[in-house]
Amino acid sequence: MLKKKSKINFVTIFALIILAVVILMVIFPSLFTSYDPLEVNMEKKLLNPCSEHILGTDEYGRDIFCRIVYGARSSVSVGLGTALLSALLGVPLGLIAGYYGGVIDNIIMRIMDAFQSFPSILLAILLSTIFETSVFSLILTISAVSFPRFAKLVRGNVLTIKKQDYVLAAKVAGVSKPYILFNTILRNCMSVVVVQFSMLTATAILIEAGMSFLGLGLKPPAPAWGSMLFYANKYINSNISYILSPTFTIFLVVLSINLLGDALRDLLDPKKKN
Amino acid sequence: MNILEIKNLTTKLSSDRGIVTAVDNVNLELRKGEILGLVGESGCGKSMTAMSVMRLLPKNQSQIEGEILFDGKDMLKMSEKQVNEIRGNKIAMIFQDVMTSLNPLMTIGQQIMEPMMVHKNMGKSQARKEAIELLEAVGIPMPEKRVDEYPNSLSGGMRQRVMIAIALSCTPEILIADEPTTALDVTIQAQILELMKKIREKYGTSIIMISHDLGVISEMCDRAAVMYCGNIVEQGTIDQIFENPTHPYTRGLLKSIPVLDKKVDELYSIPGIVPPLYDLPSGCKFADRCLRSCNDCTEKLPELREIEEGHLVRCIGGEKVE
Amino acid sequence: MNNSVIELKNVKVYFPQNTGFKKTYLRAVDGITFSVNKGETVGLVGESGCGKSTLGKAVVGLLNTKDGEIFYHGKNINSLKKQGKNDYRKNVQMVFQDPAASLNPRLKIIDIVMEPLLNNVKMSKQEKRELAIKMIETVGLPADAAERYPHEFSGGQQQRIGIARSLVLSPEFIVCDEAVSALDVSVQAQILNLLKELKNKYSLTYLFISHNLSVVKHMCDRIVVMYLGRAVEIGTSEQIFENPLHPYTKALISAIPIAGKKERENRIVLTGDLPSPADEIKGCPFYNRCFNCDEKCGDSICELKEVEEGHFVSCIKI
Repeated sequence: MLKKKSKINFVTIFALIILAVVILMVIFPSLFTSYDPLEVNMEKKLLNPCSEHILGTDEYGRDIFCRIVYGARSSVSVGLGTALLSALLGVPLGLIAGYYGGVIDNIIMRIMDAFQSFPSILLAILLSTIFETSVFSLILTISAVSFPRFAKLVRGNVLTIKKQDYVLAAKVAGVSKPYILFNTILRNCMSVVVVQFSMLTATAILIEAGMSFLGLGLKPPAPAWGSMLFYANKYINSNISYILSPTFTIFLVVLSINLLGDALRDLLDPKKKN
Repeated sequence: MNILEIKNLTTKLSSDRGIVTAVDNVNLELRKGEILGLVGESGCGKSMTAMSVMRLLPKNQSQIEGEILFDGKDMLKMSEKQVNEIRGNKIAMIFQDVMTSLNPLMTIGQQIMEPMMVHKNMGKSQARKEAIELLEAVGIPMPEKRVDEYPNSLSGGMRQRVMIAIALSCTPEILIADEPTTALDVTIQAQILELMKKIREKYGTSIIMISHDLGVISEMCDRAAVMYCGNIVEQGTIDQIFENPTHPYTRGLLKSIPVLDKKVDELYSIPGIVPPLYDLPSGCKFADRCLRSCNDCTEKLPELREIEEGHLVRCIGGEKVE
Repeated sequence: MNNSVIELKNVKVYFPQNTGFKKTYLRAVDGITFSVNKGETVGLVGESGCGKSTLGKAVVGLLNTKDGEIFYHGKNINSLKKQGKNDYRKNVQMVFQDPAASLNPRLKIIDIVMEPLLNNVKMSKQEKRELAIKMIETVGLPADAAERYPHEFSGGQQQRIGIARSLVLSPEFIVCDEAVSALDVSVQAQILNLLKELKNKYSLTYLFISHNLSVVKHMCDRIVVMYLGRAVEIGTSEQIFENPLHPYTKALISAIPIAGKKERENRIVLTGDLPSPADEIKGCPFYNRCFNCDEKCGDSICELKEVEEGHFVSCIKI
């Protein structure tokens, strides 16, 4: 049977609520918990969830929920920072490569290939020997391997858009080249950029978690979701909520960011408004 | 004798703007060996009628009511399996977009042989022989060579010929041609139309010809139905429609085409625009663009009336009102 | 005295193609010469791939010519200085075939119509806006259309927006590239009437590109029939339709299905397809499909010759 398509998107609302909570955690972590994420209390180590510690405690007796709340800051910074840096590098490169084509396109794309073929883990180890691992160095490492994808996606999009009649029409109308490039074409690339931005934010959080799991992440005692996974691994038998909490948090946040990206893409499309 | 009867066909589709009625209570019959034209502007429901007959609309987004009687059996009540036995075998279809209707990874021969091997249980060598004969019949030069080539080496006109050969492979009783020449150039269009006429003569195939081009319809068809916003507004023989057009829409359409043998300064144009399907007026859907509409027109949809034998018009105005 | 707005002399537009080792060219336009006089509508007809749209794009400067010259008011456009180039760009505009594709889906109508004013004129934002709104109303749309997006309009209305955009710089020459081919017949009539009306109102000159001969006959004073990148026949509308001389023109005219006529007498159904524009053709480009040719046509070069005043045909048999 035929059904009318629903106007309100509950999935998007769910994503928005989750992300609103995460943003609050980043800005005002003390709203959520009265514990100190760094306070060690060896008497209370590896407690299971109880009324005092809703997610239990870790091997130093620190409250897990508290560490999740405070860990949001570094994870979200790495995610957003990576996406932003990659977009700033990748979008203009992709635009220029796609629009001008020929030799310029070839040079830019081969450089992108070189960046992409560099193993990210090796780069991370290399960077961590040079700098001390910090949010900034993580952003740099992850961006270095992810911005070429941004550039390639945008380039592909530009290749189809630049052949559209409305771009020709703008040329006939005598509109200047930079305007066509950064307004006419970029505006129509925005849906791809937004989706890629959100996906990259999510991926960067995952990569950060993966690198922390390998011991390449932020050094203790600073709370971060990824490094929590790394340490919780050893105590999987004593306190199952220790490993489940960061896992589930990462899963929810990554999912919400992706959902929000899709919603944003639709919102930017005038055809889907009304 | 009627080979296909469409009775009270109503097709509803779900869209972003809610449920729309794309085909509204259409009654048509296709006689044996006849070419029936469906003509109208984009969105009038002519293609949707064909898609409903072929049961090609996705089930979860469409709802089809009425009866489609092929050989006395209602196709809308058949199972998917039964429909598959008819589709491509007894009723075949060709489409407008010749560039994407052929599989680029299969040779032309394979694509013609496939339906024969599926529907007629024909052996490979036999099917190949028939495929070459078919290619010859649709006017493709050097069929023995072409049969092993891939579609990318063919021009648009040649592709449409191959499409017709595929459609004819199981000697269907009905051929539905949805804008078969719209994407082609006039000289190629003339070739394809000529070919379709020959096929009708040779195989006695009944053809439903869907087109927006009144010229093509007038040249090809025996009878035609003019559609507007899902309704048939006028139906009759080609002579009745083109010599004695009675519905104001048909008249407007005919007057708005520039003609070769007359020079006019300004073309007649029907005022207003075709209303979108999600926002159709009540009553006669043409009323607000019609120069002779009255209050009764907007109240309820006029019935199709027979004004002379076989000539039906959906208009409450008199036969000869200007 | 020459009062041509646009004059083409032996214009060639080639597209380079990489086929393995040898660099070959697709000869989209292969030596076209004609001119468009002030106030005239010249039709460019031919089938797909004949190069008519390519030629249109070359005229508005979207494509570079390989050879030959384009003159704007007697001046070669390649030798124009900055001021002259701006002048040319402002005065030569284009209406595109697919109205939906030619409007930026992310811009409001007002911004689309104002786009040509961005770099070309010195006006305040308010003046630009007023001018754009005036243009939107001139083409028969309500002023409140300005704040809406292209997808909210039907094909015919979108084409009106495209026309408004092409007029906003008050040009003198407009290339209509298949401007009505994507439209339904009743809408087509509205747009053709609008184009004629605007022509009189603003004394425009049109280069009207179309594959539809009936439309071309209705709109044009003179017609250029193109085949495979070349002009095979040039003449006034009457000359072409009442006394077509080139076999291709004859075939083209006889192939149009006419509403209300069942059988047409002396219909010419051509056999075969267009040859590929990548191949170099020595003789007559129409040789392989012609019903009136002999061996000589295959290798003798045919050129346009004047058979009566203003009527040129390229066929050695005439």
